Amino acid sequence: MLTLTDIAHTYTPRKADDVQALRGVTLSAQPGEVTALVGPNGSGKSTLFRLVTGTLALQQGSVTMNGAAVRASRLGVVFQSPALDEQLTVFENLRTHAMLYGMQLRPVDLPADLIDALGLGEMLHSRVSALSGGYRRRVELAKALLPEPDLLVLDEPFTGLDVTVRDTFFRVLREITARRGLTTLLITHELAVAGICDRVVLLESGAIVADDTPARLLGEFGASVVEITTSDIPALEAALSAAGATALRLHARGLLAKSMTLKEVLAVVDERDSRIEDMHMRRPTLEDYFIARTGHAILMHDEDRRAA
Amino acid sequence: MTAFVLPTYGLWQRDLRHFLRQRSRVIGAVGQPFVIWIFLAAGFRHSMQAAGTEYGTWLFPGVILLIALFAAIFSTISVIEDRRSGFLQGVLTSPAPRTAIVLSKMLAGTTIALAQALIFMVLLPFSGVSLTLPGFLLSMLLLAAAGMMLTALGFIMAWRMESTQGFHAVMNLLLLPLWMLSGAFFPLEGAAGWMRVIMQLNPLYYVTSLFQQTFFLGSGVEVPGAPAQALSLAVTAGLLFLLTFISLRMVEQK
Repeated sequence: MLTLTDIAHTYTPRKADDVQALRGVTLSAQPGEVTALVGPNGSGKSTLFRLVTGTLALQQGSVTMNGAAVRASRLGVVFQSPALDEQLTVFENLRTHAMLYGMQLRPVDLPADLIDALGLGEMLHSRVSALSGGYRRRVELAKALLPEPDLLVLDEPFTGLDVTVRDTFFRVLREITARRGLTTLLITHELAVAGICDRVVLLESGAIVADDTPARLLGEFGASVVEITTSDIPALEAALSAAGATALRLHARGLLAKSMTLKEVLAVVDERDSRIEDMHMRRPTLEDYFIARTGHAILMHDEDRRAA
Repeated sequence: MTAFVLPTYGLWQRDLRHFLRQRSRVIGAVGQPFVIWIFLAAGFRHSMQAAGTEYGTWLFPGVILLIALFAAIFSTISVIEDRRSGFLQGVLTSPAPRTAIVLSKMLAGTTIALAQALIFMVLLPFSGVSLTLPGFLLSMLLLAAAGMMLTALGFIMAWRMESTQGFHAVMNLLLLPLWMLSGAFFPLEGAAGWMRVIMQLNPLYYVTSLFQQTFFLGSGVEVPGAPAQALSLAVTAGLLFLLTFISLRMVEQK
């Protein structure tokens, strides 16, 4: 189990004020589970990643794996930017990486289950420069898992991947995590992925705002919510609240009503004669939860960004 | 031991593969010393002598040192490329000791320099140098030391730099004058008084003098005014130790 206790970190730029990136973060990630660490830019995700992977020195708190310091030899890392050598083949990349872990690797030593699961069998002798973004990510994952780590940390591994590739990658990741009993910490801002992880930790301004399973986090929203797109936000928000709903501003033109059916919301809209551009019922998402807790979206909508 | 040797070997091997797979770099690296020596030796043939010997003969060991210098520049430039491409972060989070990063670069730079020097030596019959076996063995040993030292210097410069263009500019500004004022290009004897002082302050002068003396060993070519061999050896060993120590310390810092 990965345990982070009371982690705080402050950057001290030369010509600017101190920036407190993390403020007493405490969390744990269980073996056999994918724990998503989610937050907007500047929430402290990258700092936490660097502290867990040992590329940044701890200022306060502790990072332990099963009660002891994280050992580099038991750690697998997938970086946001690719860490592959494009001049080398897939196998040469894997072999060089294995040697960094003190392992000598021949093609026959490659774990067949891993290579098959990632679909890399045909690609082993291709230069990395010839691979697509999706395959490069798979090589990254194979590299990280090659030394059979206890802890796998992935930093925004889905950047630049289309949804199909992303889903395949995640499926393999989840299957390997469960099968090997890996403790997997997935750092991402993609709430769609976080929503299907075993556990979600939401980070905002260097502090944890939520830490639970996606189902429990979304429990407070009920089975469904009503999303309304309108230019009449303040008035409709007040009317919905008066009618007993909890209204939540999603963005400059978006409102979410919970604890009300579509029919009940329609009644309020009719009564106020509000101008509605769109209205539909849907399942609640982690984005809704994040907005409810922080007052803003993980990725700001264009209009909100302009307003900010 | 395996935890140190294998990562160093793996990274060294990777650097060599990189070198060999960049055809233009191989052609450039192998061709450059040929062009420099042929043009300068032929160009100054009837207009210049150095230390009483033909200019081409004098210049020959100097160009071999220049090979080590260029090999060091190109080997360590990959430190910046590796950081930019993301490869370095994978090395830094692995259990490989960070010393492996420095030593693999030093070994790769030196291996490339030695291989290039051996190729360049096909011009030996035209150089006027009768290379003896002890002279060859000792000078290759010294070339290895020079390669390690210059690669360590390049590593120190590259470790904190972000731009390959900036690195090139700094290295050319620093290393080329060091080489030109090392006695490789022209001998100390015959230089202006103030220039002699500058040359004697240049640590590479001692490395070059020792290299010339070993390369010309038994060939009848003298290196007039060369510093005492013990002093040159001490400066060479001291420089190698100091630059290696600094680069190892730098790479250990997070």
